[in-house]
Amino acid sequence: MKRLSEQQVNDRIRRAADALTPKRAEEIWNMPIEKADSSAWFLTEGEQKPVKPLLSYRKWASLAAACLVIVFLGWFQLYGTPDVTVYLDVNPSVSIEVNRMGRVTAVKAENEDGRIILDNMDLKHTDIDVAMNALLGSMVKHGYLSESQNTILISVNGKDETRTETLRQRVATDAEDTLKSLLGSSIILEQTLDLDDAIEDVAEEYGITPGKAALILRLLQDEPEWDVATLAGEPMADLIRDCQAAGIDIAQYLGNHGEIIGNLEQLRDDDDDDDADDDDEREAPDDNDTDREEEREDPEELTGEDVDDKDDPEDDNDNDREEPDDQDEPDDSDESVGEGEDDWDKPADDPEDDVLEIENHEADDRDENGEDTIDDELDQDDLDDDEEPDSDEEDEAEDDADDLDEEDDD
Amino acid sequence: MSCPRDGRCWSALLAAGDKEAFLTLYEKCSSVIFAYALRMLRSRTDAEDAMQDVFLKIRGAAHLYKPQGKPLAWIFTITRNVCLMMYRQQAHTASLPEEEHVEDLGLDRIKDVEDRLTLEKAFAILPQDTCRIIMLHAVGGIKHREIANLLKMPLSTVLSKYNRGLKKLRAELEGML
Repeated sequence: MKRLSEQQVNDRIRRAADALTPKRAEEIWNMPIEKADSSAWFLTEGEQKPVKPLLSYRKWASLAAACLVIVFLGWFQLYGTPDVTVYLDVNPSVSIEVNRMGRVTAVKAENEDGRIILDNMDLKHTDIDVAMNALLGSMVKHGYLSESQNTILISVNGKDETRTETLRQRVATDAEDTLKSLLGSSIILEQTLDLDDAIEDVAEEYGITPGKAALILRLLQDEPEWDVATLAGEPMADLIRDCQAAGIDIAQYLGNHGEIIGNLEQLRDDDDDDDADDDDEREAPDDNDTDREEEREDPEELTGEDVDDKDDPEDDNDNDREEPDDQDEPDDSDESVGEGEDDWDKPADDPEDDVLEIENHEADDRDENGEDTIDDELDQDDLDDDEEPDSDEEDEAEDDADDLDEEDDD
Repeated sequence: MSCPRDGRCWSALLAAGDKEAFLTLYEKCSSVIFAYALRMLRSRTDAEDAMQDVFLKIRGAAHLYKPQGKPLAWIFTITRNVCLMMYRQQAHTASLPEEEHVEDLGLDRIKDVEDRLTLEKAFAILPQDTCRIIMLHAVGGIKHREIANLLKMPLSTVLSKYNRGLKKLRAELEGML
């Protein structure tokens, strides 16, 4: 490799420049000239630097613009971008988007009930605690939450696990405090979500939040015969009662960090005690319900369980006492026994659903106790109180009962 | 640049219409003015126009020159202002991409291959500031301290840019030869 000295390089450049420079001295000498004065622009040293100030101005402008963009992006990242989404399900389903500062960036009703409770409330930019308080208050005000319907599902979804968990705990604690002050007690199911297409599709299709959709999809994996539409339309308290009736521990079906605050057994007790009342709250009672209400006024007062046990189609001991009440529609009773598995396909507001839920639930009670003493009492009461049934029908019922007893013994 | 004859400064001769003084000035300064203009404007035509304009303005303003400072600084001020003016006009009317300007340098007029290659590389790989310093030093024979004064730069900056540019150019050329 040939080494070049500094001088060699400079000589080459000088020779090249000389060779390149046009020899136009004579020509330029013959050109006319204009006498300049001392203020001629080309003689000034400092003022004739249009490029540098221009570049400098542009640099400053660019720098200022970049700073503004950075500041705006930072602000937007902190305040404008949703960081965690909180899903609230009772039966009204509401999604709340929250930024890193714990402020609400958007609230969306997932169904018609959700729209009712939102009621034109402007919760944007409010603190998540305030928003939760307002939403739960509105649910109580509109009758979606009550002492017997005090169950909510809180689901959270966010990219950052730490922030998501922190917010979940914060929201659950706030909700517990709020419900305690409004209703005295509460049951709060909480979970962290990993969203996928199936969950989002179900949520969109049935007008629920992805939180409830995820719970339903997990339940369906073990209970495939259950109907999504029915589960989606139910309030959370009823959904839990369904699970309890089917012997399912719902805690196992919650998502990551799933937790239940409150006593689920309270729902079972409420169910036993207040089912008739709950039915009245949710839907207009039918004639049979009225009859049952009247029966509860009887001096030989039956409990709610007793009333419902009379209709329990699966309770073999009830067959003989069921007939007097259901004489008008004995076939319907038989149908409900036969179609027990199809209950999930019925609309959520079907009065039979509630009856069947109660029936299932009490059948469990009986199984747990081994022997249903309440039913025995009821049998005795029925025998005492009921008028003499038709002898043929009674014989048939007794035969059925005997058959079923034999099966149980086996 | 010393005063050539009769104890009179070149500017005085020039102002008095001395052709020989002008030819001498042209011979001494035209290369560095042209190289400077060519590097800034990246167009042979524009550089020729700029150089012509610079010499006409030198003639027109020769009577204003006060022989107390260095004449090259005065000439360089005119050169820079003219080139900047043309650069701005060029920027407003520029339609050709830079690559075509590079091809328009007219370096093929340089017969010696090594010389042409050296200038071509200097224009191609060196930043404008560095190339300007090397041109002023190599073509105009101006000392680094004078260059620092002309360009309003610290001497250390001029030296640093000069040495770095030269090293880069040598490496490039040595790699090719």
